Amino acid sequence: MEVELAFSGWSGIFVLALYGALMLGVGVFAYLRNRGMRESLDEYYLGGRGLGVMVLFFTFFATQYSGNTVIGYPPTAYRMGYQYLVSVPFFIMIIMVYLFFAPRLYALGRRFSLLTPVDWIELRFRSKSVSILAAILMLYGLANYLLEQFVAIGQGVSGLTGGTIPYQVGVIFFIVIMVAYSWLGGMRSVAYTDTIQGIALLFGVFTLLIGSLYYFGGLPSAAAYMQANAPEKLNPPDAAGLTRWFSLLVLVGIGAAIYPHAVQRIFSAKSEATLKRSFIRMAYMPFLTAGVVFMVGIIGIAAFPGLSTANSEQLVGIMANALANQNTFFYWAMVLLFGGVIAAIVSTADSVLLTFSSIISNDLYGRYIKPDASEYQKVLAGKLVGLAAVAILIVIAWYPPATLYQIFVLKFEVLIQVAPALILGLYWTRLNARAVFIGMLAGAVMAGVFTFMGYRPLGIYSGLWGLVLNTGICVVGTLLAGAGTAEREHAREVIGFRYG
Amino acid sequence: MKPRMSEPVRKRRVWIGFVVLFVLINPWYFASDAGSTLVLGIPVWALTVLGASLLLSIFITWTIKTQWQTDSDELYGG
Repeated sequence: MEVELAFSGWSGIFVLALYGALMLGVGVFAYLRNRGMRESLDEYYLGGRGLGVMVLFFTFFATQYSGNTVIGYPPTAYRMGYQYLVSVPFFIMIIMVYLFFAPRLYALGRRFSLLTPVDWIELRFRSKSVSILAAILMLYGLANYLLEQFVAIGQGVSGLTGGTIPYQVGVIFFIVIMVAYSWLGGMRSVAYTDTIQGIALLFGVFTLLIGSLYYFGGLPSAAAYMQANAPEKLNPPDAAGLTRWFSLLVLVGIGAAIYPHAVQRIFSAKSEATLKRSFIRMAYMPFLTAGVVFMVGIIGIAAFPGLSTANSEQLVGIMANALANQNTFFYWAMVLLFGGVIAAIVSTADSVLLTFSSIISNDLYGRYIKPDASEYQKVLAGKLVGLAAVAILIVIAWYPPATLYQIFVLKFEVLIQVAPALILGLYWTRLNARAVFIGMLAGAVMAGVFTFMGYRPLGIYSGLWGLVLNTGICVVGTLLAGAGTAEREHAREVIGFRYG
Repeated sequence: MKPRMSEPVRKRRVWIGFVVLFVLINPWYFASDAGSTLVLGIPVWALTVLGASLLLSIFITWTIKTQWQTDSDELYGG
C-alpha cells in the first residue's frame, strides 16, 4: 500500500522550493560573513570554535534526531505498543554518556586544537595503524549513514509531491543544495540551517500530536482499544524484551554519543558554559520529540487498527492525510510537517558530510598524504573527496546492488568500535596502542559478521557484542603488555589534569 | 600549564546516582502482565519509567551544573 498524500502535489513542491531557497540563502549569508573560512580548517569545519548556545543546541539536536525519528518511530510504537517507550530513555542515555567523556575532550580540544575524533586518537596513541583504522571505520560508517539519508530524501520528496517530483530528481535537488551551502559556509552554514530545520521539525511534530489528540482521541481511548483487542501492547517487556531494552540503552547511548559528527560539535562550542547549557537543553528533548512521536504511534493503534507490518510503515502518512482533510490549517501544517521531515533528513546528512570531509582533510590528506599542504589545500581536498563520495553514493542509492547490500547497512555497529580508544584513552595512561588496534579491528569484524549472519546471541545487538570483545581485548591486552615508559609519560602529559 | 579539572566521572555521588537511575529506567521490576493497571490511560509501569527518565534528565542537569568545572577556557581561550 503506497499512501497518496492528500496534501501532496504543488503545495508540497512550493514548500520544498521555499525551503531549498532558504537553505541556499543561509549558505551565502555564512559565506559573506566569513569569507576567509576556506583558508582555515578550524573556521571551515568547526565554525571557528565559536558556536553559541542556541545554534550549538540545534546542531546537536540535528545529529541525534532525523526524519526517521518522525516517520519511523510511530510505526514501531504502533507495532510494539508501550514496549517502544524505550525510545525516550535511550535518547537521554546519550547525554548521560557524554558526561563520561565530554568534559575532558572539550578541555583537550581547546588545549591541543583538536579538529576531529581521529585527531584525538592520533594525539593520544601516536600510532599510524590505530589512527588510520579509526579513520577508515568512521568514514565507512559515515558513508553508509549518508547513503541512508539520500535514499530517505528521495522517498520523502517523491511522497510529499505525490510523485510529481520523481525520486531521482528529489535526491539531486536537495543534495545539490546541501553541497552548495556546506561548500560555501562550512560548519556555520550547517549549524544555522540545522537551527531552521530543527524548529520546522518541532513545529510539525507538535502539530501532528495536537491534531491526533483532537481528531483521533487521546491515550485513554487508545488504552481502552488495546485492553479489548491487543492487551499485550500495554504490558512491560518480558525477559527477552528486557534484554533488548537494556542493550538498546547501552548501544544507542554509547553509539550516538561518539558519532564522529557529534564529537566534532564538542570542539565547536564557543565556551565550556555554552557546551554545558546545550547539553542541559538536550537532556529534556527526548520527551518533546521521541516521547511525542511515541504518543502519535500509540494513538494510531486505536485510530487505524489492524494495519499489517508493511502498511503500518505508512502510519504517519495515513494520519497526516486524515488531518489534512479536516481544514486549511491542518492541510498546511501537514505540508510543513513533511517539509520539516525532509529538512531534518538533510540536516543530518549535511553534518555527516562535513565530518566525512574533515577526516579526509585533516586525518588522511593533511597527516599522511601531503603534510606540508596549506590549510586552504587541505580544506579543498576534503571538499573534493566529499563531493566524489556523494556522487558514488547517489549512484548506489539509485541502483541498489542486488547482492552484498548488507555492507551498506553497517553504521552504528562499526562506529561504536571506536569508543574504547576514544573514551578509555582519556583516562588510562597504560592503555596499549597495539591492544587498541587489535580490539578495534576484532570488534568491527565481529559486529559485521554477526550482522550479516543475522546472529544476535541472548537478543543483544551485534554492535554490542563487537564492543564487548573490543573492550575485552583492550583491557586484557593492556594488562598483559602494558605500555612503555615513553608512552606512559606521553599519556600523562596529554591527559594529565590538576584536580580539585 | 595543565587545566584544572573537576569532572563527573571522578565523583562517587555521580556514579551512585547514575547506577540507581539506570536500574530504574529498565522496567525489570514489573510483572510482564502489569499492563492492565492504568492511570490516565497510561500503564503504571510506563509512567514509572517516564518518571525515572525525567529524574535522569534532572540528575544530568544537576551533574552538569555542579560536578563539572574546568579552567580550560581561561587557559586556552573560549
